[in-house]
Amino acid sequence: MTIDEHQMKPIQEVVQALGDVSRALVPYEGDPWQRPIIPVTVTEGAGSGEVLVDMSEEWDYPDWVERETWDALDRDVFEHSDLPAASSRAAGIDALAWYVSFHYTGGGPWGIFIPVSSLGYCENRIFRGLRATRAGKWHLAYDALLAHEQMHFAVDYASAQWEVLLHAPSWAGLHERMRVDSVPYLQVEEQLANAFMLQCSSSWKPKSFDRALRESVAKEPPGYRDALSVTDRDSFEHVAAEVVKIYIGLHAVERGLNVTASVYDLAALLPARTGMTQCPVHIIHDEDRMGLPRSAVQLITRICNIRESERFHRRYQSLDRTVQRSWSAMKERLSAGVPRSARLEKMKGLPGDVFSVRIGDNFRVHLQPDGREGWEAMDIGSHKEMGHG
Amino acid sequence: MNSTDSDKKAAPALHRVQIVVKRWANCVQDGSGWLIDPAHLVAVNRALDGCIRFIESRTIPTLRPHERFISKATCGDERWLFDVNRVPIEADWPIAAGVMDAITVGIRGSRFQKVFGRELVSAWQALKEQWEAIIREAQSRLGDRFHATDFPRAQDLGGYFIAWGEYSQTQEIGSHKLLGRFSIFEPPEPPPPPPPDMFEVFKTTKKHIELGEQRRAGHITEQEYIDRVGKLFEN
Repeated sequence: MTIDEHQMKPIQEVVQALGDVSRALVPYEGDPWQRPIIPVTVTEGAGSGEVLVDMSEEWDYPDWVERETWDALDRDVFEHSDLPAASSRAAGIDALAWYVSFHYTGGGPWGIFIPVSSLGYCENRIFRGLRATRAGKWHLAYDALLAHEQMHFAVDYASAQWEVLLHAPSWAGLHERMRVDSVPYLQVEEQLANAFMLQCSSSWKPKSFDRALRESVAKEPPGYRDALSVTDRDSFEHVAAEVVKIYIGLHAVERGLNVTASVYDLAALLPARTGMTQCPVHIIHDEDRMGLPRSAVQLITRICNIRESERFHRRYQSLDRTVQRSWSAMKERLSAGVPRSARLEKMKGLPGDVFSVRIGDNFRVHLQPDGREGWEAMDIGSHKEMGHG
Repeated sequence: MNSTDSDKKAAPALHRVQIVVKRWANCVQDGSGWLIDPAHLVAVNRALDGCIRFIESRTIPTLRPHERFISKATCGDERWLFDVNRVPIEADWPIAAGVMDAITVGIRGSRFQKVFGRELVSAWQALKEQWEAIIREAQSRLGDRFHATDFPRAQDLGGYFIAWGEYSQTQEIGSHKLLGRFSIFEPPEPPPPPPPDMFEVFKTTKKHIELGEQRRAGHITEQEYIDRVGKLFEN
């Protein structure tokens, strides 16, 4: 993968370019919020890959959740798509989160959709019995689901680049072929997406979580489970090239381009991990499926509309210019998506919901949600001054 | 290329290719263990996987596992490709994309070339020696009860680590047939209308006869008969 976020075009421009390719954009007939049956509220997330889960360890799931939610999801994740003709129902890990392409028209939302109940499912099924806090398990579950779906975005993006290059509606063409041939999902693309997820999870600590995820992948339907053998670099790149080829191969042949010649690095147009953050993430709040009230779980994916308190302002004025500039830059990044470098954490022992963000090597900012989709920066100071030991 | 130009040319022809893989089945028949120490097979099997990937890299995937497309124009360049009616024989092994090929000539210019190095040559040699030792040991242990002809010779092991592609030279398919309205070439001829449903024909004939009988019996007038028959055949 060679395209980083600086080389990538904004998706709006990509879609605009696709508008010049006949039949490249298609009307969306599904419902991007498809899994939950109940009306849900949505948190607009970010593709930064960081999410802070704030929830009580004391909560117990009601008895009916096992039967009505986890068991039902088990069937979707592990069983359904062994029957290839079994409609377009999501399978494997895509039953827990899904990606809606920007190739769809109609002004509806595109991007990655992650229901909160899927994080609970991973805690109770994939990571069951492992030693970690509930929030920790949810965090890893989010990372895993996000990584898988981000690869679908990467493929979508690479396909769009080739479409503009070849002036060929390859994405729509492939999905039409799949529909006609009753192919519910692209095995090789799911293999790639799961392999990417496993590449990401290989750095998890403790290792038992990575092992648990691999065991779960091994039980998923064909394609998904084949990811286990292609996580090394050479195999991964081969599968990535296969995916790109299945999208664009026939169109390239029509245009006299021999994409099977080794001079083409077909996977080169796949965005790198940093570029994947261009994909929006939508968190679906379906806590009801787990018998949890909305207030039980807080997922923070971005921090916008930050208002600085008087105390903050006073202390900010006394700080070095470098720190001041760092805070301005961090504010901008927080509104796009919480970056890993922010080390966002909830402060223990302080009244109310106070969160801490790291600025540079030695400074911290304390923030509090204002209850109106905004945040208040309460205080700023050195690591020690802010009570971080 | 604009669509007007392309319409004048024929859509490129492709062939469907089935990838065939022969791999050494290492299990003892009763499932109690291995014939050959699996450690000896690692390098050779890895090379075979590399051969399969090489074939994949030279073709376009279809929506079905192990099935590929290859442009008719490039078929002649692919040594691993055989007509479906000509399964590779022993003499073909070195030219099919099998381990033998990997050892003898390598697959130049592919990223998998590195697995076909000296390590593979020695692994292949060790594998053959181990197989010869197994045969010798069985011969001395079982004496007349052992029939060496029931087992492959060491020099024939190449046939158990081999992959190739099969296609039918007589069956080609235009890209526009696969891509339909997404092709830049003219769409294929629409299929002929389906033949009439025989049961429907029988029903109509039966109804026609019934109407004739009703007219003869005086239950309907001549005009009613004409109208109803007209309506019957209109439908």
